[in-house]
Amino acid sequence: MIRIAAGVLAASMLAMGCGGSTSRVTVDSVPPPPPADSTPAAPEEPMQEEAVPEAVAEPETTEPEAGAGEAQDAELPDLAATPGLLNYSAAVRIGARVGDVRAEPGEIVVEVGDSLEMGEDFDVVAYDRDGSPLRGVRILSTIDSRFAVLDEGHIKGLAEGDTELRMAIRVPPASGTGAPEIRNFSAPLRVVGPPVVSLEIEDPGVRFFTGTVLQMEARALSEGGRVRESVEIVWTSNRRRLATIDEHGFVRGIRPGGVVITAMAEGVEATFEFEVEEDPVVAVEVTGAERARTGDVVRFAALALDAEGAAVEPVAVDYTVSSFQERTDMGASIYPDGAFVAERPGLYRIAATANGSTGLAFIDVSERGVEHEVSVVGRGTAGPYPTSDLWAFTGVDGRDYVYTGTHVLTGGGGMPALPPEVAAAAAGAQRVIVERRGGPGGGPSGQAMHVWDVTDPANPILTDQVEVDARVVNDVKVNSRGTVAAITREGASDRKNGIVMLDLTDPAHPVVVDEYTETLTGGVHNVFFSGDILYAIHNGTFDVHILDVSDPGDVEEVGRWGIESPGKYLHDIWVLDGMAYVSYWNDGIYILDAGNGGWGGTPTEPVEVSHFAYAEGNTHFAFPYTNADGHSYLFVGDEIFDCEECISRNGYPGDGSRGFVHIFDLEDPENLREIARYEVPEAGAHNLWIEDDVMYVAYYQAGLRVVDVSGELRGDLYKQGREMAWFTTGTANAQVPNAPMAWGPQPFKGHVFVSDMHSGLWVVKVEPKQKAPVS
Amino acid sequence: MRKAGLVVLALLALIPGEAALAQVVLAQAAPGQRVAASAAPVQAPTYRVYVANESSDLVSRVAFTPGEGVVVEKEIPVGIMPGDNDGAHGISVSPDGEYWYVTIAHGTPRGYLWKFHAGPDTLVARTRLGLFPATMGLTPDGQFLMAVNFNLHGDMVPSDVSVVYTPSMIEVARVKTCLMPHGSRVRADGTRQYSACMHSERLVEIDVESFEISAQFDLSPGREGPFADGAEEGAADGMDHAAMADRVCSPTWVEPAAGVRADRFVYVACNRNGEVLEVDTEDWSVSRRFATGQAPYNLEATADGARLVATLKGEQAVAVFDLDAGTELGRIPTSRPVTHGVVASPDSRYAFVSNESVGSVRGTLDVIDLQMLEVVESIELQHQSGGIDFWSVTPPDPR
Repeated sequence: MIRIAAGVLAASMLAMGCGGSTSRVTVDSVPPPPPADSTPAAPEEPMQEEAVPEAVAEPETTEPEAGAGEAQDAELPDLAATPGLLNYSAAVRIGARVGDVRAEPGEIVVEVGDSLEMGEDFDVVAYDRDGSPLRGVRILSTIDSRFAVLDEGHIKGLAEGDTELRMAIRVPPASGTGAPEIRNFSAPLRVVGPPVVSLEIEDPGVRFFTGTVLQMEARALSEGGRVRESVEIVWTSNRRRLATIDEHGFVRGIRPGGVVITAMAEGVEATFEFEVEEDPVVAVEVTGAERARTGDVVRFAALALDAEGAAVEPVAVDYTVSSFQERTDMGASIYPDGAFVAERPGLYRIAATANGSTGLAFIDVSERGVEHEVSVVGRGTAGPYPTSDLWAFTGVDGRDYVYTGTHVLTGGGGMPALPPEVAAAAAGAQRVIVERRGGPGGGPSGQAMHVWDVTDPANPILTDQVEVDARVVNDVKVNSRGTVAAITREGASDRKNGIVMLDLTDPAHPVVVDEYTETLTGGVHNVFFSGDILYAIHNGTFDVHILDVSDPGDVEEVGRWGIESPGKYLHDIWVLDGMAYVSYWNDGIYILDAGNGGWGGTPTEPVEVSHFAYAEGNTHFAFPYTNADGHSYLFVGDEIFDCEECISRNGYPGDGSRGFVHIFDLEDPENLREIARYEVPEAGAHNLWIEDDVMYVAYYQAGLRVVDVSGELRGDLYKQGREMAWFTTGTANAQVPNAPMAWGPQPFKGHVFVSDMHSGLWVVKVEPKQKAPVS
Repeated sequence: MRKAGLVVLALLALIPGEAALAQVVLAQAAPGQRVAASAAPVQAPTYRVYVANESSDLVSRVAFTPGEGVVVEKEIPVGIMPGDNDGAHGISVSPDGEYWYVTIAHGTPRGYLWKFHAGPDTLVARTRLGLFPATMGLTPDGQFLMAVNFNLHGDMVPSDVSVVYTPSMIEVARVKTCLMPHGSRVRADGTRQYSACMHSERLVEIDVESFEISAQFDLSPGREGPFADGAEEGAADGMDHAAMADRVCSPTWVEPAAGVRADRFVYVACNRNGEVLEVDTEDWSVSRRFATGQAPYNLEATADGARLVATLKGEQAVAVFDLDAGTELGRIPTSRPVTHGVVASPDSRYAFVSNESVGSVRGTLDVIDLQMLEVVESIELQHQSGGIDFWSVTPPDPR
């Protein structure tokens, strides 16, 4: 007679979750199983009665002791009296006896690049409620993580991080009838980097005095010199009476004398020797600007003096700022290097402290006063479908053009009809070029790139449209000579998407010279020209496909670059001076040498220079720029939908748009440092462009934003009054009325061209605000 | 709409609301003869289906009432990013009609499975799957959903089938199969799931108990039979669509038989060489072949097991087969090109067919009367209408 433990049948199932998250099952009526290393309290029931099918994998288990099933039998329901249970297979029935499923070892540790084999290097084992291993339980295992994958019984480590191995078993339902249910378990899985082979303690470059407090930093390096992240470093001082160091690396000088600080990680040590001196500092003098505007980064310097008035150098200095205004925020920040920036006008006090001595300085901050105004010069609307990206250029005929893409994502029907004269011109010029199948009645169909003559910016003229078999023409790019264009395709009816190459001999009427789909069937979201190379972002492989377009009629893939990361998503690429900036969504921003040569890369065989992933993820777009003061920055935009705070677009919580512009110091491309941001709180960033120290951001619901990015940048530019102007691209006369959804901006010959998904193409002028005359 | 010898008098009185009612009187009559209607009121059934519009990120709920027409009752947004196409591809309704599931095929970064309450059409949960998840099959109890990760656009490496436990929406297993798995279906007894691999020329059977491959069948023309372990991938291996040989099956769908053939036979759409194979899963042989026309894509066996409907993606048509006689009953043009999905009503009377169309031209849904073998209703949906599944009959079909 087979009996099932009634208490186990009461296992409660998981609450519904989303996004592949895993939770543990609570088994209310069953005491928690003993730890893995405990002695089994009671042997299991003999297995022969369960008739385990051959296909059932049998993990290594402890064999049951003879006669051990007696005690449990008394607690098991009578299957004969519960005929429904007889319908379950042995593998399901035995699931009812499971108290826990654990991995062995309890925490699985795998190194990046290494693989562990189930049954050899680790195992998953089911235990009954008394802690005895159970044979014949089919355990399903999965991993949903970017740190590791489970592939045919092998766990492969991909990136450093903590995740879990999910395990599930099938059990009879608590009711005893109906479909088997699932119980879930999990085991911690840690992916560690390759072993640390060396440690480097950074020399802080200051003298240590009694009273000095500063933080030491160390880098752990693995083979090949790659920096290891998430390494625990243990700090010790050999003479704690003279200087202490805590777990965060903060050193505090106590008494004069020689001290050796040791950092240790994974058994590797590094030391740093210094001498603690008697504190000679009696005063600190602070110098710096007395006036500034909000957003100006000004620097303060502190000079420590001894009793004779002589400078004590170098010395560790702590800077702080305080405000005299009564308000809820400080309104200004000062950084460890003495850089100060204010968000709000007012008088601020700067304090510099060295070894207990403090000097003061004051700075009066005024409004930045960069307000500009935006006036609409012209607008182009065409057809019922949303507008996507744009590209403005001067054609080989000397006239100015803007090409715009379109897509069908939000449906059509709301956009006003073309003006009669434009419609007539467009109809006359319209040609269906990459048409594979006709629409109803054999007529034209497909999505289009629109051709606008903007020589007179006040009067954009639709001269032509190039229709292709696609639902989305997301991106349009023109080469630097203005002779060739590439447009991207997604949603082709035959699922062969790729790109379409256009000859611009007559830029008002581009001619298709080729389509390239062979390795890009999954659709191309963005492209970028660099000479005769076209970099294409492929939705299928999520790699950068490198195309030789020297002959636009015979495009050939000549290279490919991508990262190895499960769930990777590639969105965009921008190339400048032989450096490529690749936006890899949650994997962050990657900088490549794509012909710059400084790191050995070529246009067809790029070499990674560095990468940076930040907490917000959704890295969408990057734009490198060096401003008039010589500061080199990388402006990186997020694109965040599906977040808790997002404004609902479709009626779901979390739908809407968020994300902002991260600003990185690009002086050293190998060491990106995020130093500033521009964040409109209630909206989401999309594409941006910078020219003449002015950043233009298409900020989706927030329309076009115009931002002063001159000088040095620190902090949040939005709060610093650096925003010069904004312009809502929403209008009643739009596909979606009064709902701005700005897609992309481009300054061009004194005007700014902006595409908006709902309202089409805008031409605006940004000029200093006119002050009302004073009589 | 009327069967020969029957006069259908719809007498009226439509009651507004979800269950539109009509008094219908059926009587035997000679053609053209007026019949005095007896007054017994009969409810006209309303059939409802869900259709995924892949390039609009919208799911359409469509209601069809014979004699009254077809309407789009609701459009449910399923995408996240308005600027990108999330790609709602496959759709399946749970056997009890409580939920529907849609695969978001492109996804960011990968594909997702979304679960909705059917009726209110409110989101219940989401879970991440593999690359380009496409069609799904559900076990008869609705507990397990098995979605093929089509991965048609990535590197040509073997892809897999995701197994999702639907009450918790957790993926509990991923079964590696072959190149471009497509057309996931679970047979009537719930013990086996089938899919076909477009670029591996293979039919794959998974044991729903163990979630392991239990059998594979080589679909390469001329060598159909049990797939030998260690054999090379099919002739279509590789991503060069143009270079694919003429004599390949390129299977896109597996449809388990219903009725008397249930749990033994499955039907495979050979998209490339224009035929449907009937495969006997007991002795693993091809028992019959049906020539179809251009590019058979999706299949649907009617619940009574009598008919098989094949969408002909390359022909803007569907083909209807009599499975007892082994003959094609008719080929019915559809309203728009790129004919995609098909589902039959539980009473085996109607087939609902989605047509993707091309580019910015919207897709459509056609309702085909499987007795009259003609399109009786069509309605325009959103862009690239593809995945389709049946939800309900109101009032319930007494059969």
